[in-house]
Amino acid sequence: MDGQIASPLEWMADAWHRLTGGELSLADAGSLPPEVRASLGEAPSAEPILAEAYDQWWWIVPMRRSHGGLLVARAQRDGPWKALVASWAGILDRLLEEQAVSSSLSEELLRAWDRLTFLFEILQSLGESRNLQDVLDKIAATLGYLFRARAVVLEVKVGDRAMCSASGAPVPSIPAAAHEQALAVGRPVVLDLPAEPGVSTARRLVLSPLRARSGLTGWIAFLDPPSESLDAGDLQLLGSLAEYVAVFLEAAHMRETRAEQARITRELEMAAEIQRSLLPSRLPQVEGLSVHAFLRPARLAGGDFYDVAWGKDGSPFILLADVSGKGMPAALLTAIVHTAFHELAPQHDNPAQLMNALNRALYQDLDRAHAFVTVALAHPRADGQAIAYTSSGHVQALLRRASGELDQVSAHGLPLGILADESYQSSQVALGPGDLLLLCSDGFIEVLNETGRPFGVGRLLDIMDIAYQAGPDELVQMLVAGVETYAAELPLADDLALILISGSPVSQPAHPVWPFVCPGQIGALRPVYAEALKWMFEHARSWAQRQEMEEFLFAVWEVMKNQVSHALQGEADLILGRLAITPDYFEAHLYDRGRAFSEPPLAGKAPTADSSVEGGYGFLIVKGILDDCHYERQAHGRNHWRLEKLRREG
Amino acid sequence: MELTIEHPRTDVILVKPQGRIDVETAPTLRDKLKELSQSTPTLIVVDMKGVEFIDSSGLAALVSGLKALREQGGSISLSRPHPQALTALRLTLLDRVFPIFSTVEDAIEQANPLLF
Repeated sequence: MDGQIASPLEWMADAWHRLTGGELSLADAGSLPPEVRASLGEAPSAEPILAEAYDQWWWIVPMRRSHGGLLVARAQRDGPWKALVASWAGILDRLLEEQAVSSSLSEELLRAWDRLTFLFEILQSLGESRNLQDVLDKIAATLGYLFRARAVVLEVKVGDRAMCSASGAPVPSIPAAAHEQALAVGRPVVLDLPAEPGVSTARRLVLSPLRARSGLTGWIAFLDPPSESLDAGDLQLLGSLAEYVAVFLEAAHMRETRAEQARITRELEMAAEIQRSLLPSRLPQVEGLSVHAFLRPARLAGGDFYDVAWGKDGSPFILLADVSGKGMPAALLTAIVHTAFHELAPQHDNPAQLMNALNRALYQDLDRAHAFVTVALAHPRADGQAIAYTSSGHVQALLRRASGELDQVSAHGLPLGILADESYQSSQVALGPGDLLLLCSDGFIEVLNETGRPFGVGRLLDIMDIAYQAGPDELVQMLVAGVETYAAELPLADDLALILISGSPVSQPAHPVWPFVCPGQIGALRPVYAEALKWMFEHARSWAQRQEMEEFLFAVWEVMKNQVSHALQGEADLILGRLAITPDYFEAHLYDRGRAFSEPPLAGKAPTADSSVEGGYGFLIVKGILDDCHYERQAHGRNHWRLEKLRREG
Repeated sequence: MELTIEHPRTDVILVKPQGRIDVETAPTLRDKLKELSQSTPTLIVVDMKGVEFIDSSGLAALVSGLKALREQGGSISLSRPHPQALTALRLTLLDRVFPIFSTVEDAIEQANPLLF
């Protein structure tokens, strides 16, 4: 007898001997003399039974907690021992019960302890490890030690990375089908491997699948774990260990990813800081011109930037550049171009010569870095009457005359860093009042909408058409808003940079104008309508005028609805528009680059009680409200509407 | 747009749209009117009091509702339209198709039409 009841039993035996001169012990029925055993009967009762044999009085009590166990107390003489024996049997029974509970508890505790130790060690390794492989190695080593298996192998796949770690003996190749089986079953499986030459013992493999929410998969293989630790409970333990391991590995992987992202972000922040510090603190003031600039890197640091440096003649060189690459390498290139530009500009008074000098100065560095730079360079004359312009492979400059006509600015050459002896040419541009010269990065033109269609030069011109009257500040804002609206939810893939040079005085519109950009979606019409109404009402002086404005916008609404449903047909494109309030009439210009209207637009037949004549109603409304409605399919696939309603309420 | 349905009389259904009936919401009104026309009213009154704006799509919804109801021998009347709705009805000549009343009661009783 062991454990907790050993000493009470000794104490009882001692007391019993002194009371009765006999002996007391725990025994089973088989050890009793046949005469005594016979008196126990078929079903031993809980009551002490008295039997006489070999001149002794045998008190026998079956123990409830011990199968077939009996308390056997022999007395040398008869006596009133029944109650005593019964009560001692009860005590022993309770002790036995407590011992059973506590022994199973300690087993559980031991397992829990092992698990805790395991978790603790893994946690610690997570804290110390710099990467996922470290964690993997640590887990493999800990499992090997914990399970006393001949070998432990861990394999994980996360994303397109696959990693492996092993501890213990060399591992035989594990059939691929076994992995699949374990992964499919989702819990540990036991496999007996075929014997290999030179290996005497049969090999047993326990495969525990790993699976985590992030898509991490893999398995833990235990080779020849001790055979006693392979019952159902142990396999369950292995299964839950595998769950822990999967979670830990996932955490380690995420930590690693986060650390990498943080490093990239830090680098990008530094690069962005470099680039910001290189931007000119102010834009040049030139008589007869106004200069506006805009820059927004797509990520923290892109390759686009603008710069200003003064030439030999005291006039500014205005530069818009796009260096190849992104992030830190691009930022460093930016710094190199910036330095060369500021060093060389004071020696020149002609953009082509400056460009030649820049190319010569930068060629070697760029060539070594397999990089190139496109530059647009404008050099206004001191009196603002003319601008000399050149370009090294940069996006074509757009010159929009106040009249609305588009003029070519011919200047092109290879990007800097391509040919050491490239010779650049300048062209002269005269900017009259209201004329606009727009230098912009390819980010504006190449931005894609959901369907992958690029924004293109056409939409830039459309925006210049709707917004030029509102002034250069507003125009720059509209250009950016247009590109953003066009890309909708998509993140901009490229930087946005532009320089806008306007011939001044910028013609101030004689009357209020309101340019707007509207996504070409039915759901986008309401907010634009509400804003338009708000803007018009700001200029209303009476209730009657408000009603007139509301009627006018009702017609505009019907035309825009038509643009969305017939011209754009759900494509993520834009409607660009401009409203004007003149003393005599309200006016709207609406543009889109959707399909042409094959019939006269809003072609209506007299409505009948038929739901298919919605367009007919629209036509009647537009025709009834407006005094003039003109549609034109213009060059390069542009639809243009001009709507006019004469004002009757003064 | 919200739609409230009332039954002031066994043969009359009163529909009260709230908000804008435009290209976005017109399908809801059209479907509701078609559904209501399958019951056995002789008259649906659309109370326009809460309709701040109706466009050509909204008008088309009313007309398709009317068409469905006429097949069942019923009709649609409008009550209390705002000036914008009245303009829309007038310009499309639909004021000749829908009887228009200045109160809901008149519309239910079919008494005192606004424009006839």
